[in-house]
Amino acid sequence: MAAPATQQIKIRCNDEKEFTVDRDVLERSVLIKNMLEDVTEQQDAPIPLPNVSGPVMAKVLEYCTHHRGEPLPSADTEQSQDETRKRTTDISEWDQKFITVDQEMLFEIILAANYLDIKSLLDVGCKTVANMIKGKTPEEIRKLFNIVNDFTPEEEAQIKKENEWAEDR
Amino acid sequence: MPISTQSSDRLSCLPDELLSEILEDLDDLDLYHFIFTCRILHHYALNVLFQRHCFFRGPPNCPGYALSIDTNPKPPFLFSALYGALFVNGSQCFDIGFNCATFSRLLEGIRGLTALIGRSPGPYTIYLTFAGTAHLNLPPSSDAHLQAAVQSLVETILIKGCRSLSIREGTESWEASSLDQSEDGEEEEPRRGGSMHRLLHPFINLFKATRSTKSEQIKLEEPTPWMKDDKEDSDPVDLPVRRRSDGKGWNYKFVPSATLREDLNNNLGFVLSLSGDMLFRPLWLNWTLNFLNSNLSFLILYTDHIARDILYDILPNIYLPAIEIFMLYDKTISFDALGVFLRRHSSTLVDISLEIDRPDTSQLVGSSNGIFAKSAFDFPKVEWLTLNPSCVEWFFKGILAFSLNATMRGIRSKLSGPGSHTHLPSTRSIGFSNVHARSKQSNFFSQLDGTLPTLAKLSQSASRHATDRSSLSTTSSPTGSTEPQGQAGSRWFSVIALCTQNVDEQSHIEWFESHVSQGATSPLTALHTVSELVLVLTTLSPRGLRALAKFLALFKGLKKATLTRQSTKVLKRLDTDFWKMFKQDCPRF
Repeated sequence: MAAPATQQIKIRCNDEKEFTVDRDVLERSVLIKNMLEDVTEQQDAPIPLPNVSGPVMAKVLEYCTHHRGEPLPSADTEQSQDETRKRTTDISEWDQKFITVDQEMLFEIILAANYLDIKSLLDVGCKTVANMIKGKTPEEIRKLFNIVNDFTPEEEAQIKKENEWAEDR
Repeated sequence: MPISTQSSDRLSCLPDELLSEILEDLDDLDLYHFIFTCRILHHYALNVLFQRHCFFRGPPNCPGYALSIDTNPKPPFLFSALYGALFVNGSQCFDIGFNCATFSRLLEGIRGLTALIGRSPGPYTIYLTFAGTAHLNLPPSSDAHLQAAVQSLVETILIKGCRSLSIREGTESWEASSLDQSEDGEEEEPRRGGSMHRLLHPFINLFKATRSTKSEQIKLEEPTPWMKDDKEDSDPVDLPVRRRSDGKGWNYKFVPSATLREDLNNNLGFVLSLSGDMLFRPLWLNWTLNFLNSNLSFLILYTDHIARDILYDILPNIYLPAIEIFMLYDKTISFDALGVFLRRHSSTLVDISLEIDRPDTSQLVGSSNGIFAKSAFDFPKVEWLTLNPSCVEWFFKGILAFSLNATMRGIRSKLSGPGSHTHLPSTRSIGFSNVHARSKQSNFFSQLDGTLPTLAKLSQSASRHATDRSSLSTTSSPTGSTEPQGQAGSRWFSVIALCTQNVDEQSHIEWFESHVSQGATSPLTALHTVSELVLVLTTLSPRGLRALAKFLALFKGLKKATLTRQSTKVLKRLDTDFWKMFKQDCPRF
């Protein structure tokens, strides 16, 4: 049952922050879209989103507003896109600017996109992290993401020996 | 290497699917760097690398993913890291190539694989290929270490419930891959034990096809792709039953080949395929075979690079009580060595398949005074015998040489008389294969034609013997019912199977047509006892099938033909014209 495009929907984040958003913007999220389709009567009560905080939701909504009206990927196109998207990390200019945030926010956006099922935003987030990793040495990757090296020097030497084949690729 | 469970960084804490999504965007070198970051990420990165390079869709009988590992030069030699591969669900096939540069690596590889299989749910189809081991400088104590390692591996495999184990050695492939890497640097397709699968299945199909067909039925197996074109045809179709004058009916029945394959896959049994010098080193081979002992029903020996003295030392001493199917691929072998092996399995062997490029005929003379002469010897109850055409003459002459010798010594009953059939009392089917790569496909049919006079003699001999037995039976059991004349003979040499999927279709057609043009003078018409023909082919177009229809008419006693095809190439469905022509040319059907 299609609703008018101007319909306003309320959502509530885990920090009690509430947003009132156009339905077509919110429907970029497959999770919310399905929820709205399941509800036949108009409800005034906000939709609770316990896994997303206010600041993160604000960023997500910024993305959804910018991309409102774009066709949602169907299951078929998603599958074919999966084939082509592998190892291509091109991101549009607007998306790049949008995703230029601190690392904490970046991971929060990725988690939120995953929870809300916004495939295109998830792709942008994952590609951004991949781009951060590209061309870096193990030590640089550790430093970037604050990863603790828990290998012993012997283990490290062994892994290096075992994986020489991949280095040549 | 225990996996750390504590991590404070955001990346490691991402859900599995998100981490995998990020890593899939990285190329191999970045993943390689990622491997060194920490233990958790190490496994994720390896998992992506494995999925990218080592996993492929398993063979049809093995749903899910197959893990294909070649240890040198790539993909990796890192069995300790293979645990990462366990993240991939549904793996049911391991295809491991040990391209080992050093003994320690070989040993480490076997131990690593043991650990991997030990952690896997099983049951698996496992192909192990040992390549290049002939060139290893094995230390004197290597046998004990290798035995311990392999013992542990096989024990683990047995505990886990392996569906099929195939071990082979491939020196040639190892050499080829080394050259590829060092000289032109081209991407070399990892050599896969999957070729083993391709080698085996036609044979298994052949054997099972001859076993599964019931008498008095014509089974024309249409290849699966044809069935896919028209779903309603996937069910067996019963055509009208014709009545013979004696009141017995012959059924025309289409059996989807998928049914047969399912049957095969359920009954593969325990396969051991051994090849090459390393596995034939006496201690290890003896140990392996003794360990498998009562579990092994299907033994395949590739003896390409094995020293003759080792072969002759080992082969006669192998005794596996459960073995039913034996295949031997060799460049040269003496009848003595083979005969002694067969003798040890006289009570159990059902199928024998031999593909020998240059049978050692010099040993034939020796056999009459050699090992055969030392004691009484019964040939095994071989029901299905598959030979390459070049060793037919050798095989039957060998049997005849023994037969004459045995008769002179009074071992054989004078009533049965000398003759090759007396030593193959249960042999029902003789197959001719061209599966193995060494066989020259171009001269397959000319070699086969060369054996036809021998086969004709065998057929006559079998027919005569059947008559003798029949009359003997009539006189010796006056109160019992007797077999009709010729009925007993139908058991001997009643099936011919041609496994010629490596031969092109044009050669098939030419061969069919050459015999058709000879008409009644074709040696095939002398094969009176042959009542069933099994053909395993790669492709056969409607034109080829029409030639086949006329060809089948040459077999005077033919009651049943089974046609299977080993290709996925889609051909048009058999048209009605073919059936008209078939019925016209083969009115007996």
